[in-house]
Amino acid sequence: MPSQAANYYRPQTPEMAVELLANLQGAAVIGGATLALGKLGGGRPSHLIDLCDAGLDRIGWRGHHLSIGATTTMRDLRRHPELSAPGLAAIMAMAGHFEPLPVAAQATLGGNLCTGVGSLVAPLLLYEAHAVLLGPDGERHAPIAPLRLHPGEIILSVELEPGSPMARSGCQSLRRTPVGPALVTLAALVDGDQLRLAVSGIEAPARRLRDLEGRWDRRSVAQWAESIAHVVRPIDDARGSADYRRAMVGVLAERLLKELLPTELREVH
Amino acid sequence: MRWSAEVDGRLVECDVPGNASLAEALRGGAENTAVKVACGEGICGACSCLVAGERVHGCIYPAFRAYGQVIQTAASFADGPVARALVEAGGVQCGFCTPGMVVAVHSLSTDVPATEAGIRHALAGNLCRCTGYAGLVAGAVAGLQRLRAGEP
Ligand SMILES: Cc1cc2nc3c(=O)[nH]c(=O)nc-3n(C[C@H](O)[C@H](O)[C@H](O)COP(=O)(O)OP(=O)(O)OC[C@H]3O[C@@H](n4cnc5c(N)ncnc54)[C@H](O)[C@@H]3O)c2cc1C
Ligand code: FES
Ligand code: FES
Repeated sequence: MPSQAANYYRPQTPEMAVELLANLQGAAVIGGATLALGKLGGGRPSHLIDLCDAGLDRIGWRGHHLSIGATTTMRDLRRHPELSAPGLAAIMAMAGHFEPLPVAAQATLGGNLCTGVGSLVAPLLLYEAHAVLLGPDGERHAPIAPLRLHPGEIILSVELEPGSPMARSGCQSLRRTPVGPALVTLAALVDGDQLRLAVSGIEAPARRLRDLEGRWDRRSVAQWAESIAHVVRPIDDARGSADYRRAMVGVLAERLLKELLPTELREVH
Repeated sequence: MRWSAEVDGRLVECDVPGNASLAEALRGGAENTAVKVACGEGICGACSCLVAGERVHGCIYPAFRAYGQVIQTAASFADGPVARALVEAGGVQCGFCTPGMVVAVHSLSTDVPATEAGIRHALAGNLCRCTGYAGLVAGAVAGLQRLRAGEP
């Protein structure tokens, strides 16, 4: 590498990245740069602070939280043994959307959260995920939706609570193009008779549907799908009307719940 | 900034802005037009090249992440069996996607079956606006088979 004298920097620690960010006008950190360099990302930053060597690609336990480094790529997420449990399948499903494109080996978790409409937000919300940030004032924890970075802050990692080994989860999404943000993403986790739900795309910001969550009662799958479609507050934009989004979340809900429910419950309904 | 890499077997040194993409470094700095830029946002695969053997979309890959690496563009494979098979199968019309397709086929690991389904799945990130894909996919399958059979 040439000396770091011009406008590409590859800091070896997160602290160095934060310092560079504070001192360089027009600089931005990059994870995979799949948005920052392409036309999709809007204006290109004048200085790139590449986080690829900053040691932020680790996945491991921090107390009872599973910590996923911000520069973990979609491909690494898919391949990591800690993430192979059925309870984490919702994350795997969304990371899998990037395959077999080469972008899967480049797109990072941190960059995905920064877009605000990234595929991973809804699944991560199922596990009470929060972001760990580092900035000029030190480290802090912040919600991932909406994720609000203070000036000069970077994402170090995302921490989540994977839930019981018996849990099963999944995620369904609907998009108009392979790259654009999904119109609707619905993620669900079933743990015994407990149900958790999260949506993104359909609402801004993404959120858990906590009003509906709780015990899986004797409603049929179709009735649950109807309830989900009823409680969402769909946005209306060029990609899809609110009515269309509401109808589609019902369709996705029915598919997802059929896939996740234990057989005995599925047969009752 | 001074940028350098081994491109298609040749050591290249040139001045490239630090915030450039690899495609910009190769086309602008290294004058290598085997890398095409169509969408410029990582969708179409026209800019596909290999960095240390891994396929990347050059338009969204930071040039300086590839600093000092071995880079292969379609120029490395121009006379190979894949390029020939694509032409023979009618898989080339305007030819703009062809360099990216050739690189993509060369990047496929042995667990990708050399079948129509295997190729359609593995090449999902490479778009062609002209051929309708039938000849292109047939050419890619034949090219991969010939590559694996060791045809020069
Ligand atoms: C072909 C293709 C397919 C795609 N498919 C999908 C898809 O299915 N789902 C989806 O959600 N997206 C998709 N995308 C969009 C994008 O690739 C992903 O959202 C990706 O995860 C973004 O991450 P990145 O590391 O490349 O971001 P970058 O381009 O590196 O950064 C994007 C933004 O985030 C900021 N940033 C990055 N990392 C950090 C950090 N650690 N701390 C603070 N700020 C940071 C950057 O400054 C920048 O503003 C696709 C893109 C392409 C080209
Ligand atoms: S030009 Fe790079 S993917 Fe289209
Ligand atoms: S031959 Fe014209 S884009 Fe493929």
